[in-house]
Amino acid sequence: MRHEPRLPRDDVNAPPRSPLKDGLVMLLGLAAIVGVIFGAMTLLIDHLVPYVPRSWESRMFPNFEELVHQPENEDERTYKRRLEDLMARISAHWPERPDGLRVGLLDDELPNALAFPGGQILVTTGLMKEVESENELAFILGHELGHYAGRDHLRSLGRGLTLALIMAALGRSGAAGDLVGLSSQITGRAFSREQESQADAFGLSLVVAEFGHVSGATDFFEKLPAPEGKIERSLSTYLATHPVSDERIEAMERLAIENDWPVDGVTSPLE
Amino acid sequence: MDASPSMLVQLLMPLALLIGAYFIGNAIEKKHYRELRVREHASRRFITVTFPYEPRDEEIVGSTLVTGSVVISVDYFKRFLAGLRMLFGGRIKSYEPLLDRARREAIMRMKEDARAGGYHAVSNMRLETARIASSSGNNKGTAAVEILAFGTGLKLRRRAPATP
Repeated sequence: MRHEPRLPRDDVNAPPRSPLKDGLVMLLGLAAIVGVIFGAMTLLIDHLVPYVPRSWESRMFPNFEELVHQPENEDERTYKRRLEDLMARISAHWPERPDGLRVGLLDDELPNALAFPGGQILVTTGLMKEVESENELAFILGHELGHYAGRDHLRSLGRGLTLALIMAALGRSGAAGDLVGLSSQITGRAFSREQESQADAFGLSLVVAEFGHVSGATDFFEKLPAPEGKIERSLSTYLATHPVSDERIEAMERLAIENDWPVDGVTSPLE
Repeated sequence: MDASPSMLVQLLMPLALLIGAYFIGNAIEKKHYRELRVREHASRRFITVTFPYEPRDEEIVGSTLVTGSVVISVDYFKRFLAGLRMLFGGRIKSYEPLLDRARREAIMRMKEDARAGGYHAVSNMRLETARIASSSGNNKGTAAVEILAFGTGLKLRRRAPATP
């Protein structure tokens, strides 16, 4: 037997291929599949959420009572009185309001207001210090009521669960799964901003029902620091959970024009 | 606006790593193939067979175990593609050239081992693959693979002409 030396071939065990194209096709395919699943699930959730009784909803989430700050001085007692008074007046304009709506103080210097699942609204002492008119505070409360009107807690929970499921399904696929999961998380932020805009519209309609005009309602947004610079602006537009302040103001101005709500009016001072 | 910058970093870091790993990995692969071809061409007459070699005109005057071993791991880009393949199935094309290079490099090293010891041929060559598990043990860390080529190096001497 004669020995026949030969060189290894390059194209048998590792045939020429285009890894970039291969990867791109798979990545786009994966993104499309995840997109369709996520879209179908959110559609389903949005259709089912109205049928979930509110009493179930409050049982689904933990109790937030211990977060409520009891007034410790004269200022805080005034804040609490103002909140409860305005809450009663504002929510009266929402006939389908659920039972168990309550408002309290949250001991925090950052101006913020939060709607907890089950009907507990908390407004920070920091915000109460900055608020100057009833109209301004009424809009903040109306906005938080809007989150209950939209069943936003359940809808967010549903989206969160869907995302978690998708992430778990992609778990073993490494960086590709992380990338797709993260992209859908950022896409989810758009939903959060949409919820906020809807809550704004709801809040504004309550303000109009109470005061007859929209003047003073958006004062609070003008106090929030606006993101500076072009890059920060466009970043916060896509990544933020809330719309940018001046966009919210503009959206509400449009809303007032569309609904023929009076823009000028005398704002009521806080008592 | 909670955690927005960190989300962006989480998204951009893998992308930067992917692009970097793709170009670096490509350059290394091309260079390695070039070198392999030169070395394989230079040693193409060095007899390497997978069966017990029995020379016709020579006698075997010495033998020893010769080995060549390579340990390889995958880069970020290749693992990214393989991760996608784990969802869709099919050939992991990004791993094929890597393992092809590793096998050829292991055989070349074995030949070089034999030649350095003064051996003229390798018979009974075998290839073995061993998986080196990641130290983290959760399948997330980078694992490696060892390719081992081994065989029997033979020292040959021309037979003395038959005496009449």
